Amino acid sequence: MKYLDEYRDGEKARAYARQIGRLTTRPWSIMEVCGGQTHAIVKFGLDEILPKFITLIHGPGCPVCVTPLEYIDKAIEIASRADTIFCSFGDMLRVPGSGTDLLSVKAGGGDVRMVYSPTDALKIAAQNPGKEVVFFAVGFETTAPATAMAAHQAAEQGVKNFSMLVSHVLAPPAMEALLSSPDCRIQGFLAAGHVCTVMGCGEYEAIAAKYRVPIVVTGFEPLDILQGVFMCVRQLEEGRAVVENQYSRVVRPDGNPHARELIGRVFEVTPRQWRGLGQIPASGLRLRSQYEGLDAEKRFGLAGRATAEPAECLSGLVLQGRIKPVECPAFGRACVPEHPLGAPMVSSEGACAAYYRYRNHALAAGLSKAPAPEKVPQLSNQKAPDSGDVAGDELHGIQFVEILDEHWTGTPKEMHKRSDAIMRKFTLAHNAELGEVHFTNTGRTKTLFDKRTPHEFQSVQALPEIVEKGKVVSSQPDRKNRPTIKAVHKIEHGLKIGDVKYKVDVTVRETQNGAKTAHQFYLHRITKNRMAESLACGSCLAAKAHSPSGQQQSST
Amino acid sequence: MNQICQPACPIPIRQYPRVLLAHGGGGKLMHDLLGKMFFSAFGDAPAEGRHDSAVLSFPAGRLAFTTDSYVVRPIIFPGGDIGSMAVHGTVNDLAMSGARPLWLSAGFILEEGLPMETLWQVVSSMRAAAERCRVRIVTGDTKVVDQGQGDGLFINTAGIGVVEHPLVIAPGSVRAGDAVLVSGDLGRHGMAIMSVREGLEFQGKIESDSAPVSDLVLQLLASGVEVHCLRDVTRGGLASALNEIAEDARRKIIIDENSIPVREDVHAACELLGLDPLQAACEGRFVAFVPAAQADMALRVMRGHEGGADAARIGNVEDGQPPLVILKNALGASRILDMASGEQLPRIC
Repeated sequence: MKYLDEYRDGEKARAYARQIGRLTTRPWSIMEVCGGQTHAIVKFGLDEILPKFITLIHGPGCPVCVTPLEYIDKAIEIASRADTIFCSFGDMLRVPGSGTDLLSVKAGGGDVRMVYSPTDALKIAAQNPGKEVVFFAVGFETTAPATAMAAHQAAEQGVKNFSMLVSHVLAPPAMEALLSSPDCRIQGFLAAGHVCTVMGCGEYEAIAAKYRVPIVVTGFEPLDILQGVFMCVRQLEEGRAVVENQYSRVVRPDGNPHARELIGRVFEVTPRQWRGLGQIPASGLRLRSQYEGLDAEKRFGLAGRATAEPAECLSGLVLQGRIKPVECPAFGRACVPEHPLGAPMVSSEGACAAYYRYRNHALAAGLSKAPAPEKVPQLSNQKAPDSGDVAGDELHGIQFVEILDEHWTGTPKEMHKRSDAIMRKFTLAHNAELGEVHFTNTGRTKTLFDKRTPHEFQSVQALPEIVEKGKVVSSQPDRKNRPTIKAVHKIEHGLKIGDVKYKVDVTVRETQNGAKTAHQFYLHRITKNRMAESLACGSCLAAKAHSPSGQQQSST
Repeated sequence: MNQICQPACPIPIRQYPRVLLAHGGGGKLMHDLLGKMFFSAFGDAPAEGRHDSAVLSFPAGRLAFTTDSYVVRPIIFPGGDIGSMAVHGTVNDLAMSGARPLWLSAGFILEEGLPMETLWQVVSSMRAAAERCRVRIVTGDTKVVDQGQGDGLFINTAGIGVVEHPLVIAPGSVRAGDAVLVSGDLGRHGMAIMSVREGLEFQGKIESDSAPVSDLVLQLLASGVEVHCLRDVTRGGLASALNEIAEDARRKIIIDENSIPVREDVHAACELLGLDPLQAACEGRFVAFVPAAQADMALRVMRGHEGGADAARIGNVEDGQPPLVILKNALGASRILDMASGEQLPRIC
């Protein structure tokens, strides 16, 4: 398609990636602000073709994801009224509030309609004079002009049955909030092209100068994003920190003055609560006093209500770029697009949904590059999962992957079948030293061949994580000198099933087929970690385990 | 039959411009509706008189049997309507086993107040579709529900066909190395419906791809292609069709994104709405799994037929777990092509 295919050209994309590789001398962490960019990165696999030292941190620029829970609840309350037609953009409908979502309200008889533009909602109001019509006005500076236009027209035409629930947000204050955090390690930004189409690039100059951070206004197609990364890395390598415009075919330096004027006429800047980020000063838009008759919160008496965010969803950390979606314990388990816990799993622009849709959780663990949670700021008081949750405790230099003891029962044949089903879902894991390690049918058959005990069978659950986190302890040529096997690697890692600790030895075959080499998981064995056992029986560890700090430390 | 089937609605509009509850009440009005509307369109009652079931002579061989219900808004859309869709859909389901469609049943649930003209238009369109597919509608049923309890008109059709080939056309027959073919461009039905749906109207002339594929499939089989599996691409689009087969066949399907035929206007509409054309519905398309050695021959046969002019080879089947559909894009990166979760919802910006 014209104006689209040009920006998705594979050869040019690879050439850009190579050029970025040549330019890069050290690791850089760059945040793409907009959810549309995140979507494109994951959909087109841009993070796969970028050089390894470039880490893309997914920013908070998804309007669905940052709309606070209290507004979803307010929307649900309005939509449930019998006299009301509630109009919303499509992807807000499935976002869970604290109890239900708008789609369920619709299923329960509420008149909830999906619209593409706020002015369509205004039309619905004109067609239904006996009903209250409410538009859910969310989004960044991108959608604000259309909301402002609907407000302006409603006021001009004197439409009495139309109002709007406004939760508009502004991009630059969020970027500044991330940057002003003391331990922020974002080194460059790809700013959202659509936002700048409206607002221009001027707002970012002060930010770039104050925080010494390059900001590249970037589009949404693969080549746009790669060029944005290139421009950002070039600045970083050259020690510059200015605003550059990659998306110049669309973004003018002063944006769209008419749209800005309209926003200014209808809205004023206000502090705004962001889902996962907390309150950010001067980061939202609210209706000016002359338009307050259109304010649905006032009309339906909902102002001043607040709802607390659920604790089990780590979407706040995802939105801040502190963890990758796959690192959330709920990802792909309790939280899937059909039953989302948090908004990033709902919106097609949300980072969690993008990872789930294009990577799926089993694969994502292997495909995504090492996360950089330490490189991003601590904004909210929501705690990142500490190493105890994710990587197991530290004991004699051995890291433990922890899984719950599920107390498997049944005959070895039954358990074999169960493990087999689990292993069939594995594809590959990414080991820091070996790179991609593939799970194949051969490996599955081989490793399950001699398993007998429930823990041996259950241990397969942890294999991708063990391969990913394990240390390569030896690499040797094939004993039988087969030409197809280049080397045999041993990976070691700890595994805790319930309270029982094991050492896991994984054998990985490096195969050669013509010029192609690959790493294939071949088998694993688990043995009780004797050193850990003996220490665990001794008083020293027992004392440490129950010490007030609760920290287990290496005692050697 | 033709002289009975006049183009105008046979129920006098002046008398009953809209469907009444009484049209389903079992009395005179219902008899009138059955006689004048349905029998006149679908053919005369058998010589031995109307009866509760049709008695048919079945040719020797295996029998294919399927059913589907049709719910679509609007009832009449660019490129088709619920009536033609209800015939094509069920005929296509039969075709996916390589069966020659013979007979259909048609069950109607009418909402009180449905314009009689609309019903006639739908019924006429069913008749035309059935003639085109060389299938007979031999039994049926009508119910009327209160206003507000239906969405104008729902149709259920069941179909019986005869399997005249010896192949087992099913996901279990898919082998590593099979070529994956599609019979034409994708996503048109979904976007045609979307373009006229309330609140989302956009300009453009995207017409539904609703069409029967049975003739094309029978030609493919007659040409000697050893078809391993067929699946019609309907709700959920190509993504759902391929994922279902990958899962049932327990194999990986590797698809090359660039080779998938999607018309430019459909692609543009999808880009605009933030939807994926590979998850958009079709009503006259199927995927075929055939041995790689016969892929070119199969494509020639398909392209030589009016229903398969845009047929293309889009990928291959490989051994390997888990059973996933992997999409390779122009950038050389690959991603999972997953089923859509629920209804596709347009994006905000």
